[in-house]
Amino acid sequence: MATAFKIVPKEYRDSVSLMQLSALLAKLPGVEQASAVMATPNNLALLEEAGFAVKATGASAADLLIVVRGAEAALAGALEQALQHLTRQPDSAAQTETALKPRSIEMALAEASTANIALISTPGEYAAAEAMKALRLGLNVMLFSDNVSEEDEIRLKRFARDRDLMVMGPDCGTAIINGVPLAFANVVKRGAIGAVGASGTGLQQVTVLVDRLGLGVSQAIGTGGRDLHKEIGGIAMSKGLRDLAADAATKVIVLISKPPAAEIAERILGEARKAGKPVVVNFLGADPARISGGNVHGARTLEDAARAAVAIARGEVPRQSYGDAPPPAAAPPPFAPGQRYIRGLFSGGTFCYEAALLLDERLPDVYSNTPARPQGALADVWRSHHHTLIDLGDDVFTRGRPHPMIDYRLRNERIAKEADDPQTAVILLDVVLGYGSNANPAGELVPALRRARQIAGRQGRSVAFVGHVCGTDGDPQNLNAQTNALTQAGMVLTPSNAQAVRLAAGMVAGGRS
Amino acid sequence: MDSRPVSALFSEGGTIVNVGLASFAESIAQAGGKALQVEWTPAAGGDPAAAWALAELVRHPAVEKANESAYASYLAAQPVLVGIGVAGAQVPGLGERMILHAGPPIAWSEMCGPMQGAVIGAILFEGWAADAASARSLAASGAIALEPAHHHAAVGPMAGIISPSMPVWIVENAAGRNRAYCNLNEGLGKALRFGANGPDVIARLRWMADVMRPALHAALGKLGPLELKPLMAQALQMGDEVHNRNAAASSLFLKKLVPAALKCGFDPTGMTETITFIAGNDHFFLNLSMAACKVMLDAAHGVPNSSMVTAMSRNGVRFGIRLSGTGERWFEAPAPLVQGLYFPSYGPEQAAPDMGDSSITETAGLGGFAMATAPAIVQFVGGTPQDAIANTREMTHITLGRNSGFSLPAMNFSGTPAGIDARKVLDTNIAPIINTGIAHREAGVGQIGAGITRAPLECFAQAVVALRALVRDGDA
Amino acid sequence: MHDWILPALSIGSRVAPGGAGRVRSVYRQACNVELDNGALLTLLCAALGNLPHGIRIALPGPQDLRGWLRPDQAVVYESSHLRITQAGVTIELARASRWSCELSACDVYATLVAQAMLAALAVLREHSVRGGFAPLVLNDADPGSPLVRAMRRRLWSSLPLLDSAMASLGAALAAKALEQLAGLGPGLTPSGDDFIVGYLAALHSRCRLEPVLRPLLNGLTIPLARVAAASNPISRQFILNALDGEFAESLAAVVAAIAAHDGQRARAAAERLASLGHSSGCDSLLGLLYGLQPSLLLGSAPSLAEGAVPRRHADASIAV
Repeated sequence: MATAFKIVPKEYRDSVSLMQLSALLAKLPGVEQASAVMATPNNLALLEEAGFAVKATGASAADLLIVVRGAEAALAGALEQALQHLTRQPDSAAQTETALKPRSIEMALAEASTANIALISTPGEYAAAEAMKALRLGLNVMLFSDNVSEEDEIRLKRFARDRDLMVMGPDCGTAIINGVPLAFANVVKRGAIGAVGASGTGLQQVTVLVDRLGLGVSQAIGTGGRDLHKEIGGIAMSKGLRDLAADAATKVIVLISKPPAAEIAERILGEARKAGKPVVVNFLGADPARISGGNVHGARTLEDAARAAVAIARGEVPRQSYGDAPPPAAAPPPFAPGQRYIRGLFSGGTFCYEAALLLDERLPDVYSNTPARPQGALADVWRSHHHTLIDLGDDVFTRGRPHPMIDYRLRNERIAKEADDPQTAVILLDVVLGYGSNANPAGELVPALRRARQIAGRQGRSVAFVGHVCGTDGDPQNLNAQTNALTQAGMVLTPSNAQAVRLAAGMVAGGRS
Repeated sequence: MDSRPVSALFSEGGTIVNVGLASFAESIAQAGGKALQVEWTPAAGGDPAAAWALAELVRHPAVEKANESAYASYLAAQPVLVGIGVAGAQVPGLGERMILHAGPPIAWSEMCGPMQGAVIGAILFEGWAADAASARSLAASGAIALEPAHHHAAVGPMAGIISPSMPVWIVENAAGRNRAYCNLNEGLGKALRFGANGPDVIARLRWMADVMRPALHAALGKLGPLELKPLMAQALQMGDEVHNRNAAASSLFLKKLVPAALKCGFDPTGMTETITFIAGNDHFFLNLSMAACKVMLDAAHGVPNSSMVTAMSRNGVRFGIRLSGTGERWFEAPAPLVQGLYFPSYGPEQAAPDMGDSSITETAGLGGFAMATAPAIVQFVGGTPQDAIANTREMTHITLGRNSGFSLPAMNFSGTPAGIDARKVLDTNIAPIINTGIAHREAGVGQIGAGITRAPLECFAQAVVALRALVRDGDA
Repeated sequence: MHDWILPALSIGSRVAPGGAGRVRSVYRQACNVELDNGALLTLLCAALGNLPHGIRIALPGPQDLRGWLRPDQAVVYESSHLRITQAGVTIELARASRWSCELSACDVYATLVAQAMLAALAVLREHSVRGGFAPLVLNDADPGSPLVRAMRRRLWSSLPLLDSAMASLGAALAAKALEQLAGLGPGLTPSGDDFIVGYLAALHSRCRLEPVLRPLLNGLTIPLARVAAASNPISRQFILNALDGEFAESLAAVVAAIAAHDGQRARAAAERLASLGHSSGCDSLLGLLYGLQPSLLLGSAPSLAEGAVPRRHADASIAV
């Protein structure tokens, strides 16, 4: 291994060409490393530290230093090439022809003839127009943008229906199509279970649990939260159901939604009965017994839906409920007198709603901004009251700041506030991984948990932290590292939201008895 | 222009077109999918109503069909120079006391200095007033009708003034029988089209009417009908874009003209003066180029539902466009200032806003749209030949097709991008590029520079909204 | 043949009329002129923001200064004109406006200001593939090359030093840390130089609300002037400007947006800054954000919620 260098006095190349020069030299045969930097004292020291033997006495900070390291025979030639590159006319060097980047969907289609989906996340006021263009150009649409009017949604979905195209959304946060996670989605194995959901986090929970239970997902289709409203009529869910019924890779279909308008529910269930495949339906809050029948299996919770789908795909008979799974062995801390309530702080709206439903069955005085019953509506979302469950993804909280799955600050502040409340016994949380979410949720939460513990500790109390991580081994955040960090920080983790809620309920019930 | 088939949601390996948050495209790529990011900006400068109107017209079958028909008429047009005549006798609807001007309609009081100067010059030339002051009050009195040349199948560079006694080129579309007219080029320096109206200018106009017109009439009679498209195509091979550079085309025209001129038996003194005048003016062909473009675009005009642009023009105050499918309406926005190079001792303060019908050449796929072929022009405005090619290539994204009748050597002899689709302009926010001269804002000083400008997007937004209201969705 | 007249749009506050010099380097949108008195004068296309030592000129249509200017051409600066005879170009200055840098004051302890900083930081993250210091501060990944690894080591020995210098208001310590960064790294203006400029912008901006920082800044003048003297003429000019509180418009725009706690504007301004040069803009942005709020960039960021960081007043006791 040898080093050679060349000093080019007063060579004021712009940084871009210096980078290009370094890259060009490093690609030459026999050259291991190359560098083109200004010959400043600090850079000379740096080169020495990195093992380049450069004795550039007399070089000044205004000179360019070119260093190459590698096979001795190659170095002289490499330096020669470097000088040639520098003396080349700037015009010819810079004129690498770059094609104009697509400025419209139509221009993009000229480049990508295999395109089948447009993912649209422009500001809401323009999103409908972009979606309409995409549909007219024969593309399916995932409309991530919110603030699209119901009227526009109807126009788009009817237009799409007439052409057998799909409109996922508006306000559709999650989909996994052909194995590719779109927007907020987890990395799950491919497999036999297809899902259609009006709720993004609902889809995330089901697909994550299917993956964790060892099976995979064929497709996960989001419909947007309003799809099953009477005015829109479940156009996207019908289309998704139809497509999954026709899809050879899909063996079991899962449908997820809040309870639809009665007539829509009837229609969708009617279509599900004719799907020719097992269909698991989770209409959160609806009575599963009234749904089940024939090939349709009603599930109470998201977890039940995932477990039932997995059982059916494995050829087993699904259970009516999986709610009796023994809670993890985690004794609550000794609560002080007065510590009686659960405070749930959620980044996923459906997690919050599911928690409200499950707690409402078990405990009195449950309040939420996604209440199970109208009486449970929280008067002031900034202030907790008895058992309180907050969806921090609510518009009230996200105005002018990123979604709580990305930006943990607001939730962290609220955790501190709840810890300061002598009535708080359990803080219930969800942690969502996957594309789109915060790159390191544990890094955000752990200091907040620590701080909360200090706040409560100073007042002689301990607070329990219970939650679940909605994520898979494939997710970019590293599930293992996240769960380890959170567990070490004292958070009790369950496999699902439903189990976390039950565990929390058990803790406060135990504390009272 | 066939419509793309509907794609299946579950098609393996399909590309996702990402419009909006770039991080979504990155995630998709990271997860092993294919994504293509659109450099999205709100269409129409952010007017949601125009954006929606546009969305409803994208791939609209009625519009596609209409454009196909309009564009085919443009391509098929065969501009032929059939003669030279007196405007009053030739130009349809040109009344006795009427003066035509460049651009969309404009009242006397609104006109910029150079255009008012040119109107005054035309009044003096016609002898309707004895001096400039009385010509001005005559014009201001409303006794002279002022109408856009475009309303009379005519065009004119800069002020674009045509009055009844002026000579005009007569260009006919051999494929469609429509005709277009343009005045004659007076050369550089003090000229009526820049608003000059001194005795020298009027004297030259007189000479053009009295000597040059009959001389050319005689020569053209001998020559017979002259096909202009092949001549323009040849000029493109020789470095002209036939808007700001016409040196080759002017020479080619002269080469055709001289033998006929020698044989036609016209008074040798007058003919010598005429030929000398033409030989001394590298821009002489511009007015023929414009008439040819006008005749090709008029052939495409009037196809219901078509979003093809058939005119872009400026009256020195406003920029206007017309679409084939929206009839006689103009869609206007303030005329932009030209980004350009100034002759010594002049600067942007002295510049008049963009003016003239000469952007008819860009509308027809020439001028700025053919910049790739005219490296000389590019140098003139301070760019590199690569910039010129980039400009032409950019225009391919807003046009209906490429006119192989006008091929560009610098781009592997592919045709010029032609047939501007107002929808595409709005959708991509790529504004049509225009090569143009810069006039002094005061009348009569003349050209003070040259440069490049872009058609205002606002015009296209209005046009698309108007077209949307006309298109019926029965067959959408 | 007459010269082409290119109108100047604006002239930076540090451009002193008169003198002569030579074109040193020409890029697509900028040209550096070294004047005989050693000062640097930069000619810029209109699209680039102002510089304290820059003259912005209007070029027609497709803008490429390389079509006009070549290194070594003589430049004569008269009162109302700048002539480059060999290029056939006269830049007319008479109608140009004067531009001077106005640096807004940032209240770095306000939550909303911190949010705007986060918006700018997000841009920096997106651009960190460009190289320079940003990826070495923001990413954990091993850079691979021994050279970059060595650079990372040096960086990480200087940054904490800078941090404690700030906490203890130790100008000498801060100067030492910055000297270790000067001239370090890739680029015509090495990353370290760009970082220093950004850092000084942060200090100048904060000084206006935190007078306690003023002695620190003053204490940096002499050592950094020495650093400037030893660097190349372009870095030198930027550092000298920075010591006097004068910065590029693109950098000042980021400060202004952050000070106005306008996250969206901060994002856009940071985007423009980060796109300058290969990594130069990113390195300045990094220096700026580091100077405003070091914890933003270091792993153990404290919560940015209001009150989480003690507000530092002139009369407050200083916690180390």
